[in-house]
Amino acid sequence: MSAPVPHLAVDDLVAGYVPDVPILRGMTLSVATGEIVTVLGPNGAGKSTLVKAVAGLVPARSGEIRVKGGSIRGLATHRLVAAGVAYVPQTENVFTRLSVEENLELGGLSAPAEVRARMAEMYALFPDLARLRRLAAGRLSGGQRQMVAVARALMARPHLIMLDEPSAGLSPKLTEMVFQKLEEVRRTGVTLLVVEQNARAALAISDRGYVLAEGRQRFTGTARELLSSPEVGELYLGTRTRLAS
Amino acid sequence: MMQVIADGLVAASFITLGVVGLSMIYNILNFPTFAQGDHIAVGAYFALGVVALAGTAGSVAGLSFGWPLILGLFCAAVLTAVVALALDRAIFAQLRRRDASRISLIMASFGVALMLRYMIVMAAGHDPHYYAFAITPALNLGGVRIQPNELISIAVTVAMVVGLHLFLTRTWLGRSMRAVSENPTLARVNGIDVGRVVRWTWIIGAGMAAVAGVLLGVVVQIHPFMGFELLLPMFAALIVGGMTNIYGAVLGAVLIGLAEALTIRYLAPEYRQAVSFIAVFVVLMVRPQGILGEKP
Amino acid sequence: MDVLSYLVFFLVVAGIYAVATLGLNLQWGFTGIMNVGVVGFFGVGAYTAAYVTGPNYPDAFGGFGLHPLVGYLAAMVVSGAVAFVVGLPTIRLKHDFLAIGTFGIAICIQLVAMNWKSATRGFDGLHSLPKPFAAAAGSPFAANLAYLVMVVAIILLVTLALERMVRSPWGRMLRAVREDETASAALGKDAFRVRLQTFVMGSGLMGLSGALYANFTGFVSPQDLLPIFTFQVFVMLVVGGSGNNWGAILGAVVIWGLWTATETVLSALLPPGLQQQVAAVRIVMVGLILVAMLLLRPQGLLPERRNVSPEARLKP
Repeated sequence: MSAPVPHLAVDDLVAGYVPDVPILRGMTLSVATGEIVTVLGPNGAGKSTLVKAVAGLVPARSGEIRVKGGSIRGLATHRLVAAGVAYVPQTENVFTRLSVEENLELGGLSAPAEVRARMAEMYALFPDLARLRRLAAGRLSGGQRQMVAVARALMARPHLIMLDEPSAGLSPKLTEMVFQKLEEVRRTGVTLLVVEQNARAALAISDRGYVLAEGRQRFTGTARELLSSPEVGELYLGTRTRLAS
Repeated sequence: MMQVIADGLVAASFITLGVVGLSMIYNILNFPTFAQGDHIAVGAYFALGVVALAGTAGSVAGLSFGWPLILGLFCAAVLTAVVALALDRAIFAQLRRRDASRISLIMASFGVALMLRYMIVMAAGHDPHYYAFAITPALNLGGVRIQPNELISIAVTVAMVVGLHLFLTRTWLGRSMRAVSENPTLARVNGIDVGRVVRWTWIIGAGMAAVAGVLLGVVVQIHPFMGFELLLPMFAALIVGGMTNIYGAVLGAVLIGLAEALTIRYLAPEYRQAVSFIAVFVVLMVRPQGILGEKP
Repeated sequence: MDVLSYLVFFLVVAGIYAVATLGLNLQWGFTGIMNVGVVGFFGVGAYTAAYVTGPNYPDAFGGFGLHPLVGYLAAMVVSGAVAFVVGLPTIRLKHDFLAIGTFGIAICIQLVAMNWKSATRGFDGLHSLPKPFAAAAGSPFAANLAYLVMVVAIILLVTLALERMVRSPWGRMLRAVREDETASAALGKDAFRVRLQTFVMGSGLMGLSGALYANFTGFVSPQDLLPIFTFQVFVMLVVGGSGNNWGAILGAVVIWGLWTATETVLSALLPPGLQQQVAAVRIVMVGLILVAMLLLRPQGLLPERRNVSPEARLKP
């Protein structure tokens, strides 16, 4: 038998907002089913552009994007949900004027019949949200909002979920809580691709990681390898210190 | 005083039907369209065409109009929506695709407004028209004199606003619209087809404007500038109501309608449009986010 | 001689439009602020000039009979002052508010001109305004020619002044404000100040345009204050090239040329008695030109000259 088809395969992808000014300059990456893979890199490395290009929000100029072997390059963003891929943006990732419950309902737009059952599952996974469900999402704290954003994305029963900096703006304690939840999400059978600045927290739950610099892959390896690599430490801390021993 | 309130509510009904669409277009397409006033006039003239084909506006239940005009109302809503969709496809969608600035969109809508207005002049001239010349006696409701046609206008407006509210809160398409108006990118990520939402926004906005035009034609008269003259009161209602949702717009429309009725009664009828502008000004100075608007 | 005198007349009117278009270019072309009430500031200028220079009307607010040059200055000052009052609350907000605010002020000004009869004589308008050069030049043709020379001189003066201004550090700030509404919010007070400055100055030019018009025709009335004027100036700027002063002037001449030519052609083609239709066809046609330009050549006939390299502009 040949090697299993990767869940998500990005091949030599070039992408950017404006033609001729690529932000991503030939990125290759693969995520196996059931994995948590983290994409790291300094500011401006093209991490967010990578997931936005997969989500169809930034045009891919060349290269290929495959989900379970089928190409999704050029797919309109609103068709992504039907392909089983969910995306949680870094900022403005909840509808602030709508209630928590309405946010979740919108997440389940593609399968209206399942909304009730699915929402119950989400409230089981995120018990805090059940209590807050009538509240406008704009009035929640940063950590609660992140929960709503993840729950909303999960409503459509995606098999792959991409998160752009889920720890942005959160305290260390909340960051830990968010990543704990992401691990729980993986146990429900979902594959995760996480873009993060917070390398330690993200790698702690990840199987593997990629480090981007200037739109290309700089390093790749298992989470353990990256955490103990002096080069990765240097890229992050400016000294040849390892992120973890 | 009760009479002024009644008059104000009648004026508010036309403003409401127009501004609700203006508000939806503003929130979903992200620019204030100066053509919304002329959608009102276009609708009134489509219905006039149907009535002219039928030869009569008919009469039911002692009103000055009947089935031909009711049919005309439906045709007007549909045809005006088609006109708005065609204009979007030919002009506004092209500008969006080119990432044109909001100023370009506003300017294009100003051009479209003038073109619509003067196409009406080309087709029907400047002179006012009426659906029917029948004069119905005013009703006397506890000392308030009100025409049956005016009561119908208020009733239709209330019904349409309630219907729109149910549509926006209970249907998937309505919820999609609210989602797009708040955060188009997140809406797309959620699987919402923004193009479809934009099309329905024009259909609802222009369709309701057409209904406003027919009602205004029934109560007052039909002329090429009837919609343009409602544009400033509609903008005023939009700003007073805070721009971000239709409920603020409806409240704004009621306030502007009452202000107009007070002006006509106690100040000077010819400055009725100016009153709404001054209201806008006061609101902008005191509360830039409007009455029901959110803090920027 | 007939053709020549018509040409002079045509160029004077085109020049008057050009002054207003230069004003809009300063606001929209250089600073990116929207003005949907060009005609309002034009009207304030026209009526101000009429009061300052006109004879003492028995049935209206009195004329002071001053020299037209005083009228021009007064028109600029008063239009600028109105712009200041309108701009102060609206200009710090998003474009939409200024668009709606200026649209509203133009309608209010027209309403006042129509209805405040004891001051404006309503639709009868203010007449018998002094025409400079009329007495000295001898013939109407010579007077119009002299007026044309003056208008051209004013346009050159205004254009050269504007060119100097937009190439100064202050002018670079205008572009910074225009290019990015959010980035300019970071400029804070400075962005607000330059926006208000250009709004007031541009509106002052529209007022000057109104004054030039009043003293050229010798008559102003609410008929001169229709929204079509605003629309014409829009089209002139878009066609000429927003962000380019010479483009604004070119656009005014081209569009005013088309406007007058179509009237001649349509009046000849259509049977008499269809005057309303002629006016309507013209507006629809110019509307199509506006939309076509916005879609096909948004940079206009004479595009803006950029000081920055195109590559630098592409970076998000």
